[in-house]
Parts: sequence; structure tokens; C-alpha cells
Amino acid sequence: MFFIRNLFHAVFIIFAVSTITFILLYVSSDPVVMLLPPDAPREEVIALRESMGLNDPLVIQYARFLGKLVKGDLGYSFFYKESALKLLVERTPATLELACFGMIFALVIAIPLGILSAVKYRSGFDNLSLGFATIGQAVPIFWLALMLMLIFSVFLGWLPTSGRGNWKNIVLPALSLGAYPMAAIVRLLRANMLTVLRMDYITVARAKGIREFWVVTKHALKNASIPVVTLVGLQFGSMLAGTIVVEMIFGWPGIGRLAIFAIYHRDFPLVQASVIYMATVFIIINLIVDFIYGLLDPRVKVGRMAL
Amino acid sequence: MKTTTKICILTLVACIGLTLFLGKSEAQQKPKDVLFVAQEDDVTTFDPSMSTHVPNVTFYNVIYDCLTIFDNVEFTKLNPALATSWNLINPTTWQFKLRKGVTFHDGEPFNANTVKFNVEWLKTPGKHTVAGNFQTIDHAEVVDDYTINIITKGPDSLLPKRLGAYGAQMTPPEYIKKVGRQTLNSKPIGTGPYIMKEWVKDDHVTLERNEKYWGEKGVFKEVIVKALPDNLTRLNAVLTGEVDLASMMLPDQAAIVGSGNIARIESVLAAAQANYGFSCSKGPLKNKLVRQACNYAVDKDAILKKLWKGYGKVSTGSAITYDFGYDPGLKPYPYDPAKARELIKQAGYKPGEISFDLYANAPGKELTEIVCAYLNDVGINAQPKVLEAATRARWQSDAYLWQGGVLFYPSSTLYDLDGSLWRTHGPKGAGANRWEEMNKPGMPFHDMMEKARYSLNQEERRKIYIEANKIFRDEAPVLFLFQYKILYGVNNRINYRPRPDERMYYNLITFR
Repeated sequence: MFFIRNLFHAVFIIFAVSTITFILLYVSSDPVVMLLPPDAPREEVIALRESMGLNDPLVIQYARFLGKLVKGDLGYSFFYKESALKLLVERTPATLELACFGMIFALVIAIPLGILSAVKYRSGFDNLSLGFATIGQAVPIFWLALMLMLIFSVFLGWLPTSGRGNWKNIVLPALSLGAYPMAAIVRLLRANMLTVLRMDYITVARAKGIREFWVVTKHALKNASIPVVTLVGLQFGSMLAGTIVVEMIFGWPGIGRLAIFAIYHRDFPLVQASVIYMATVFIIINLIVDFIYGLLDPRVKVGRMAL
Repeated sequence: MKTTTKICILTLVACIGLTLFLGKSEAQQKPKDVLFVAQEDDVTTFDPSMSTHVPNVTFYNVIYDCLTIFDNVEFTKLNPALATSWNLINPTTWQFKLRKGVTFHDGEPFNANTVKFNVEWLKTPGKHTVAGNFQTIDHAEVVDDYTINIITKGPDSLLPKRLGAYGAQMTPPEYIKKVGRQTLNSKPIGTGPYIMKEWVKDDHVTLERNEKYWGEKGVFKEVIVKALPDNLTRLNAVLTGEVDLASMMLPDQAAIVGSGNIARIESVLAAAQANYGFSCSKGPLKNKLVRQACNYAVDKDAILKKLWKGYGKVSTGSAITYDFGYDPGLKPYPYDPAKARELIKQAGYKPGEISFDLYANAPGKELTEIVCAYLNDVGINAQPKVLEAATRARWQSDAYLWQGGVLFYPSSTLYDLDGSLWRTHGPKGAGANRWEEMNKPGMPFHDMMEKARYSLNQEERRKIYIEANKIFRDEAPVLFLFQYKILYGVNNRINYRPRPDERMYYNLITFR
């Protein structure tokens, strides 16, 4: 029941998002002027607009768009002359790869750092780790990306500046993308661990003689990680839909870059498809997070069923 | 041992380990016979009739051939390509003799039927994005396998140039009939010096040398063109030697590239200029004296020197230096704020009474702020505004949507005033309604330009253009700025000569 309700919400959100995007796009500009040479004669602009059906009333164009949408047809890119959905699907592996590696990097650094900061509360290590996390959250991605490129590509010559190919290509984009979620996870995990470590059941576990390592990793971490799962889920959604800056800087052939191109050139079908795609990704990730939440904390499931 | 010492030693060991593990740098691993190029965007379609965007056209020039080609040294000189010769057999008929023995990459022969097929396609408006260049064509007649007559609606002395300009690349009719024009978007077949081997969208395109090419074959077996939209990434790729050639370098970056021993900057004056188009049909800019005052008020030399690092030349009028009809004797508007104030007074305005906005795309923001400051200095209340690309493109072809000035970069497509001034400011041009008072029939400027368009007497055309350009300069429907330079980052292992039309012929790039 819970999933059916969420599914209904998801369809409604996608419909609302696509309608708003459609209206905003069509009132804001004209793709024909971006397709033609900058100084193209006005007659040519009119002729091409007519042949593309852009002279039809907005309602008719919208009905046409909806008609195609229900059949799963997200339209045909004006610039690429290909199916918009196909273009998005082609770029999905690149974005998925980047988001996964970015998140793996974030988690590998953030989880030990968050736990150790809480365990060594107010120590030099804790201060250092908090400072590290604050910088990670404060530094803009574009700046970090360019600095990493300058150090590791230009000065040291270890890693390539751009592109997608072998494992070396993913290192700098993943580090840049993972920095912000890493910092956010460190702070949240540390705060939650501090709360949990002071709870009675932890004292009981320690009194029972369980080794401190297991107290922290098995008993405390499980409860402290519930809000972290939500954060990771949301951050991962943002990464899948919003790797734009990293993709632009490192020339990474992903969805964010395609969306920027589409918006910049007023490639209406491609913008629509990108928005619908990104909204869908966010919704699916939220559903998965809800599901995992239920697994980690059975009270959540019970609470929902009681509603 | 202290913790900090331990951390320092560990970091050092990690760095050494990483260096050994990572081995050679990207630049050192580069194969010698492969040319690496970085451009600002990926190709979107390989069909040459579907786009005029520079990142796309780059590929059209090496995958396909035109009937004619502009010279790589004397840029305005027209050379034979797929046509070996051409002549005017009557005022409306151009006859082209075609190159024999040329085949497309798939083996399809090139002949007069190929040209007829392409001409018929190109002249049809509404089907593609290049029809504007071919509107003078009426039809084509095949004389024999290697001779074709192209009949124009009126005399058109520029037709051979049009057939070497954008959109005029010859595509294979049999292939298109077999697989559909749609396929050409991703699987191009041409007669050019390179064959498209692989297209990884938004990442790179690999081109392979056409060993059967009829003309000058490239020294590089393969060309890999990377799409790097960020300016700094392209700069870094040049600095590390990862790419041999990068387009769209910025004037600020020139000194950085030149300071090392890996690469250098090569530049050329563009076949385009930057100027602010005025909406001359409304507001204070309707008054010619106000428009002239704007031109006197701005110190273009100073802007060019400081902002563009001297990469350019102050415009004297609408004609660029390469244009047929360019008058080297014509001087730019001098920087004379006193004269500007005087003209405003003559126009009947008090200081501060004239107000309008100057619009630019994001890269032109700084320039627009400086220009507005100069205008403010003489009592014109001009405010800088930033326009996003699509709105600016829409405004470019419709001046009824705005008032004030917009930063445009009009190009000269045919190295002739007809392809620059009259293409943009003629009655059918994109800028037609920016300056309606002068470009309607009966006005001297209009009639002169129309006469030049249909005249076959080149000397007469040149004289008309010089006079017309003087009228344009005097009427000042634009705030003239400068003909800027195009900058490329070039690795020291290659020779590269940039072209004003931004075309890159990879087959003409050699080792240094």
C-alpha cells in the first residue's frame, strides 16, 4: 500500500515537473534560432519553425508532447537528430560510474573518520577531522576540481586532465564529486555516534564485557547509521542528476553535461527528457532509501503500517 | 617517533609509490602518429546541412569536400577542390568541371549527379539549416558525368564561393538513398581526407586517414578530437601536452601557454567582428547623432589592449580586413569624449537624459561593463545586462523584442561584403529590423548593395562596397568595436596555421 501510494505520488511529480518545464521552455525562447547560423535570414527561421511544428498553438504542442509521453516516447533531439531517450540512456553508464566511484570514495573516507572522531571526541584527531569535513563542505566543487587537476595533472603529471577511458580518468572527477558528501557524512555520523555511544544499551554492552571495537562497530554504528542512509541516498540522487560541474570540467560524457547542452541550445525534447529522467532517478532513489530504512529500523515499517 | 613525523614519512612513501605505480604521464604515452585535438564541444550531427556550429563544421571539413576551397595561406583565394575549374557561361549560369576518379569512403563514385543531388537538397528551405547560403540557386543541369551547370535566379558572382562555404559539402546520394539521410547524422560518408572511425558521444571522435584521398593526405594516421567544454581544462590539456591542438584559447591564457616549452599560441584575425547592434527604429538610438556619439565615446584601443591583450584590430566599419570591398583608407571612429558630448547636445539631449541597456552573453559581460562606463562618462545612462544564449539568438533576428544595444559577433561567410554587411543588414537579413530606415528599397544604401549583389563587374562592385561601407560607418547602426583574433593552443611538435573561418584541416597539419 505504501509503495502504491508512493508510486502514485511519483507519477504525479513527474507529470507536474514535465508540465512546468514544458511551459517555461516554450515561453522562454525558440530553438530554431539556435539551430540556424547566427545571422540566418528571417525567412529561413520562419520556414524551419513551420517544418518543426513550432508554429502550432502551445496547447496543441503540449497535447502532442503528452501523447508521445504516455507511449514512452520522450521526443527527438533537435540538435542530435536522435531519440532523446536514447541519448540519455547512452550517457547513463558514465554518470552512474562517476556517481558510484564518488560515493565509494566518500564512504571509504567518511565512515572511519566519522566513527574515530566520535570515539576520540575532542581530541586532536577529532578537531582535525572536523576541520577536514568543514573544508570539504565549504570548498566549491569547481575550485576543488581545478585545483586537483592543476596539482595531479599539470604539476605532477600523474593523472589525465580529462576524458573517460581507463581507471586513471575517474580518480580526479570522483575525488571532486565525493568531497562534499564525504564531509556531510563525516559530520552527521560523528554527531549520531556521539549520541548513540552515550545510550544505556551501549553501557550495558560494555558492562557485559564486549570488546570496545564490537561495541562501536556492531552496536553503535547500526543505530547511528540510520540518518546517514537517508543522507547517502539523497546525496547519491543528487550525484546522479547533478554531476554537471564535474562533468563539464573533466569533459566527462554524462547526463549532466548533456542536460546543460540541451538547456543552452533550447533543445526542448532533450531538456524535457532530461528533467523527467532526473526526477525519476530521484524518486526511485527515495523509494530505495525508504526500503533500506525499513530494513535497518523495523519501527519505521510498523509505524507506516499503523497509519 | 612523533605522530607528525610518521605522517610525513608515510606521505612521502605514498607519493613515491604512487609515482612508480602511475608510471609515464599521459603526454608521454601519446602515440606519435596520432593527433590529439581538444575543442569546446562535441559534434551533434555529421550531416553538413544540419548545422553551422563550429565544433560540427570542423568535422565536415575533413570528412567531406566542397567543390571549391578557400586557400590555407591566402585565405580569400578560392582554390579548386572537387571542381577543377568553373566559369560563367552566361549571366545566370555557372559551369563547373568536376574532378575525375574521386570516390566516397564507401566506394561510391563522385560525379555530376552527386552535385545535382546536393544542390537540389541545399536550396530547399525548411529541410535543414543552411538554405540561406543557397537561395540564389534556381536549379542544376547535368551536362555530362563530370560537367554540371548551376543556374541562378539572377546573376550571382559569388556562387563559386558559396559552394566552398558552410553547408556546401558533397554528400553521397546512393548511400543516402540506401540508408536514409538520418543515418548521415551518426555515420558520415564523404570524400574527405579523414574517415570517421568512432564516435563516443560527448567524449571523443576518432578519425582515420583516408589512404585513397585525391588531395594532400594527412601525416597523422589518426586524429582524436576530444570535447572539452571548460576553458581551463583545455588550457591544462595543452600545458600537459595531452593535446596537440586546442581551440578557443582566451587572451588571458596566451601568456601562460607561451611561458612553457611544451606549447605555444597561434592566432589569426577572425573573419568576424564584435559590435553592439543598436535598435535604430525606436528610442534615443533612432537619432543618428546619438549613435555616432556612442562610437566617439568608447576608447576601443584601450579596451583591445587591456581586455583582449592586443589580440585584435579596431573596426573601421562593417567590412573586415579580408572582405572584398574593404577600404584600408577608412579610419575607425577616434576616441573623442568631447565630440560625443557635443553630438548629444546637438541631438537635443541633456546629460543623463539618454538611457538604454547594453546586452551581452556571459563571456561579454566584462566588455559590456567597460563600454557602459565609457558611455556613462559622456552622459549616456547605459546599463550592462547579461543575456543567456538562446534569448540573445532570438533577439539577433528580431529587434522588435528589445531596445538598446546587443553584443553580436557577425561573421563574413564569403569574404565579401555581401556575405557580411548585406547578409545581416539586408531586408531579408537577421538584422533587417534593427535598421529599417536605411535598408528599404529606394534608400541609397539599399539600392547600392542590391546593385552590387547582382553585378558581375568586380571593379564596380568594389567601388559600390567602399561607398556603402562609408554610409554604414556614418549612419552607425552599430557601436563598432573590433575584429578579434582567434587563439589556438598548439603543441610544439606540430605546425599549425589557424584560419579566419575557424576551419581546421587536419590533413594540412605537419610535424615541426
